[in-house]
Amino acid sequence: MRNLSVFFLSFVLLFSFCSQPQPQEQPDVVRVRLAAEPHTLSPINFSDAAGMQINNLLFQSLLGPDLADGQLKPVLAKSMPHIEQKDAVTYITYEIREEARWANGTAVTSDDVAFTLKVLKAPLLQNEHIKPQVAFIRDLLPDKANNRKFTFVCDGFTPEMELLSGDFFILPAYLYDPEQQLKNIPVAAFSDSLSKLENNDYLKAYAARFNTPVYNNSGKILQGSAGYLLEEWIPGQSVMLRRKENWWGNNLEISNLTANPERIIFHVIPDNTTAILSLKNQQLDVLSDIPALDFDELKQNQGVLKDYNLHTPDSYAAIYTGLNSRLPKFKDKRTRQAIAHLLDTENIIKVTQQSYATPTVGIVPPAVTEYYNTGLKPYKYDITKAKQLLEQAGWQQRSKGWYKTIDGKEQQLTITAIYKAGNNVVETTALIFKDSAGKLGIPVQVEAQESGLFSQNSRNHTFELFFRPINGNPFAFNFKPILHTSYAALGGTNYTGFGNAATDKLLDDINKASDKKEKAALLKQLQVVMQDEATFLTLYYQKERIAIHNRFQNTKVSGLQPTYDVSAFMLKK
Amino acid sequence: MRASLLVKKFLSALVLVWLMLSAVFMLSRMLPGTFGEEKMLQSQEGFYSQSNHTSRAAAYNELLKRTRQDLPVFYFSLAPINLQHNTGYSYLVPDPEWHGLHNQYHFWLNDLLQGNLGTSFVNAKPVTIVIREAGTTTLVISFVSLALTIAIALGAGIWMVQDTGKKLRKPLLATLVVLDSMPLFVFSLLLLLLLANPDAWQVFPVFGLGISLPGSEHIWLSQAPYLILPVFCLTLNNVPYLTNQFYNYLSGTLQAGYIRTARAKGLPSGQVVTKHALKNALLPVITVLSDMLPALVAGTVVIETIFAIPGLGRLLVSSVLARDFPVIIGVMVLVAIVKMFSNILADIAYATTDPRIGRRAA
Amino acid sequence: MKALIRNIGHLYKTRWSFKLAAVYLLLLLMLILALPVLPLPYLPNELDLQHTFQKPFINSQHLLGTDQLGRDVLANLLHGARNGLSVAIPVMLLSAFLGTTIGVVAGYYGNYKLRISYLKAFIVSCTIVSGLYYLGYVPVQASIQALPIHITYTTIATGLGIWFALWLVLYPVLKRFLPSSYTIAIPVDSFMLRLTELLASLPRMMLLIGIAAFASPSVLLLSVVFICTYWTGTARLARAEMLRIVQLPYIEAALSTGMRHRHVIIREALPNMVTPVVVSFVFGVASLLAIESTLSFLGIGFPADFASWGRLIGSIRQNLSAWWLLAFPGAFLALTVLALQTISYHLIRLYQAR
Repeated sequence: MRNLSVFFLSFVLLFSFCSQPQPQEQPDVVRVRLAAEPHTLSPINFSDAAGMQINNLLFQSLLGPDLADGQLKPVLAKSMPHIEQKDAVTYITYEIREEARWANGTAVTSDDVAFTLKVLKAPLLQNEHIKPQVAFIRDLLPDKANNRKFTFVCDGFTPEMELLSGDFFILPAYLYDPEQQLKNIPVAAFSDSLSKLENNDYLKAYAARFNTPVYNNSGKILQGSAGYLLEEWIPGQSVMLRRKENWWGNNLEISNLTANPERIIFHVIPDNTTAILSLKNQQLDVLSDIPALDFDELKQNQGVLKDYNLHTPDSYAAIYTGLNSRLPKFKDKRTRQAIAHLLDTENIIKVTQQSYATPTVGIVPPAVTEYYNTGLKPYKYDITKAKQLLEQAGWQQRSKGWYKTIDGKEQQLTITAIYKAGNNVVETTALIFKDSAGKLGIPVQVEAQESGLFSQNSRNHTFELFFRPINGNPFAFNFKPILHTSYAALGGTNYTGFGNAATDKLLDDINKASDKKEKAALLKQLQVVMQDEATFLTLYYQKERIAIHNRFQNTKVSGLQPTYDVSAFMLKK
Repeated sequence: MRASLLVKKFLSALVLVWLMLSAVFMLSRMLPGTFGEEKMLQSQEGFYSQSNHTSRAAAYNELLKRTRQDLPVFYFSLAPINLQHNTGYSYLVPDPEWHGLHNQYHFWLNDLLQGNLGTSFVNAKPVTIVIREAGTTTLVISFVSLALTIAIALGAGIWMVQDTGKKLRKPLLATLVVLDSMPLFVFSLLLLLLLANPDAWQVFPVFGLGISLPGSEHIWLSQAPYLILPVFCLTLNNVPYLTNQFYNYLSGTLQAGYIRTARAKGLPSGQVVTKHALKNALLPVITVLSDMLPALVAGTVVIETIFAIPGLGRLLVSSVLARDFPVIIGVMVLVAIVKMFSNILADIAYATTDPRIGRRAA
Repeated sequence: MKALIRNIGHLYKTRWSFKLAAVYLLLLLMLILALPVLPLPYLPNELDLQHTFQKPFINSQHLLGTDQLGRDVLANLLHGARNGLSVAIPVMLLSAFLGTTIGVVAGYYGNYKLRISYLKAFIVSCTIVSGLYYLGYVPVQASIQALPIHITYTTIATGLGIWFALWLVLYPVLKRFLPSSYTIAIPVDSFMLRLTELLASLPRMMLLIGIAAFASPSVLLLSVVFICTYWTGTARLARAEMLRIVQLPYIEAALSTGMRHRHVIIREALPNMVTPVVVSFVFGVASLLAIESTLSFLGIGFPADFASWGRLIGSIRQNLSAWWLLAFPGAFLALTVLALQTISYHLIRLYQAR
């Protein structure tokens, strides 16, 4: 016992010696919390939100969304591209800003874009995450007269091509390939069969050089045309960026080309409670993704309100319920509508999001007012309505549940609801659904599935009902991959089996629609059809919950990831 | 102890390590899914598709090839039961396939024998570095707590067998039993809620490792307060068991004849305990300790989850989820090696203090 | 067995702590058995979204408060006890049986005593290999790939047929031509020791995490894993006890008079082993209860609608001020484990004193 108290005493002593360091307020430094450390900062292999956010401060793509108004705008490109369709080929022509400079002061040219394409498409390199995204670009034709102008040659045409052709980070060839090992291989060679290239000695040598940690985490290599340089990355703790001296973009005064704070520090804080305490101690300037309960508490906290602005922008993240309409028991749409009436969206939002969410009638976010169908009402939790619909669909209620004879066999209405394990929000949603369906005598079994198994079951159509998150954006509305019947075969991305000839045509028309009015009419019609079919039930769109220190202005808070533009932060005068 | 016996022990431990690692290797490859499969094959659901399935599948195959995951797992395998090709009852006859040396296991074992654990699929870092980054904290926590546990258990054990401690022995033993009955996670949560809660007493910083300011040199010093509570919990979780064991052995040896002789010679009881009984009572404790090691590592999983510390346990969980095979195996290699060494140390300690064992086993 | 009951009766009369623990456990057991008829206002998975994070002793409907979904703490406590014990007890029964069998065989036969003829060894290995394929590999593959059920049946039938042929046809026929005097020793003892060492060096938690990562959460699967890893404790005890018993003079005498192995084990050795096995059983139940709640606290392995103490405790992480989510189930868990440990402690003392 004596020993114990001695040890305890020494603990306390130790603790008192190393009291927490209180950071001094550095006005032009922004301290941002990262919930998870990026796996890699390689601009062509990052796979997480943190990697994306930091890369956006180091590198630039041709086009990018401006968080101030949610519009796609030219970044490294001088203007939006010129698009031309010829037969089965699309030509997309860009011109790079003449002021654009790499970190060493040389100009950004079409050679750099060509080099980037090669790296993205090459075999043997660590680029698999982003490679599929540029598979549609076959070749790059440089302009003979202007070394900043070039044309992408693309297969076929889809409306999102404009967006995708400008959506990858351009790499500096001088830094990434100093020995010019890829210089002599033409871009088109990377689009043909790759097996020949796999034995190319230059490429092999380049791969050996490229697939090393330096290209994933070192500030010596990770230098692009954007306003910041990677100063230091302490694994598990923080990533620090420093503003370039006299960056070219700052002289242009274009609102979406900014590098205002002198330093940006990303702190890796996996735990929410720690993050919130750090905020209360003023150790953080930006905290996003705050859990709803804690956000409510922050709103009451005078100390926090004095120094921080709390924002709740409408996001483009939703939760939806998918019913496998291929199953005989869900074939009748009245059965599906009955299930829709059993989704207690109001309480689900209250419990899982603390009311920081907006119920929606369909897949189009309510925040996109021009396309959202305000004429519809979301499904309401209504047991009597559900009961009526089930009876209409031919189900009979008995003491043990609901029965119906399908294909000569009597079947009970049971539902297995699956979701990805580890996601608290969908788990709670599933449990609430189980509870409300149970009140009508429908036994629901909830099952958390490990992510691999979950996606396998979705692809193979071996599910009855699932809950899933979906991420949207305000500039592209091509729903074909999730709703068109050509994607409904085994392995396709239309998991629920939604659709018929009429809806397919509707989806095609939405893609072809040239003016906004026509598009709005078609999208509103799609919402009507989707609500009636009740296979793909979007429950609500979340609101983001962000706290930003109030010494900054021009924070560009938005529903788009990463929900604020840290490079635009300016100190209030 | 004879050298030949030591070599024999070492070899059998090596075989055991090899068996265990092979088992982990096979088990990990039996997990459905591979690294990157989920992220690459399953498109992010959104308002447009960023790529089509064919190009994603092609890229995924390249990933498999680059990381050698496209090779067969072992030297041979049984052909899968395939109804399309199998007509009738051909599945009733086993159909083994020979893959030769060009298989994942062979390459892995080769690399391992050369001391190469490979590189993480996730961030191309060598596994040794990944483990070192995550493992430092875990090792600090578990070794500090192990040292404390041993010190406390020894102190309490010696104190209890001596005359001075006789009075408090019973209540102390009872307290230990009560402590032992509390699972680690309940205990840690309790302390967390009491001692690191802004609503109760905030004696300790909450959890995580805090924010280390860039450029500050004393990262270790600033993190120390965050480690106190975890170390304390882990220690208190192990102390009851070890103290009990130690006390039992110690009081057992005190009954032995030669101790009685020593006492009869008039040696003071403190000296009898420390000089004579302790040496013999330590032996079984070494075995107990080497048995405790894997449990200690497992215990850190719980501690790391509750106190939000990035460490080996969480690394293992996240790499299992990401199917980052080199890291999974790397962590297990570490556990196996620690276990092997502690076993051998226990054997050596036994043999040097008790010559009878060496003779008997030989 | 009789002696054990008599001893327990004696302990119950003389040791107050034993009495207390036994009374507590009996009460708990009765409460669990009476659960279906108890007038509880809520079921453990019933949600009450109007009353989330209710404090205890305020609302008469939720006497011990509610969690983040308005689930009743009292109902979850009692059902958690039932679920925990209904996993722990069957698992421990099976693994105690497995462990005793393996330990007894290993301890009795050692490395040299179990000798079988070459022919028999050959037949046994054929049995094992064919069993692995026909009763292991094919049925597992068939169930993973969801192949038609007749495949499973035909393979199992074929496997059993092969066994039948091996033992009832091939063995007697070959026995005529081959002398059975050539025998080899089976090192059962070192085999068991290596296996326990291997299992002990694999941290159980890691094994569980790995398994939870690929299989969907299921109580059955976890139980199988528990059985496969928990038998080692009992086996070690049983082996040590067997080693001691075999050296006793009267057993040696019995053996020299030509008594059969089976007879010695069952009649003479097993009765001596009841106490250590019971001790390891009680100990195992306590440790299973703890591990079960640790796992559901971490959210590993158990389904989300499996009411348990660990799940209840885990929900405190969403609201650190909800102390009642830790206090009640935590106290219950600690008390139950304490009671079980007290009982096994007294039994050990009794056994050592002998």
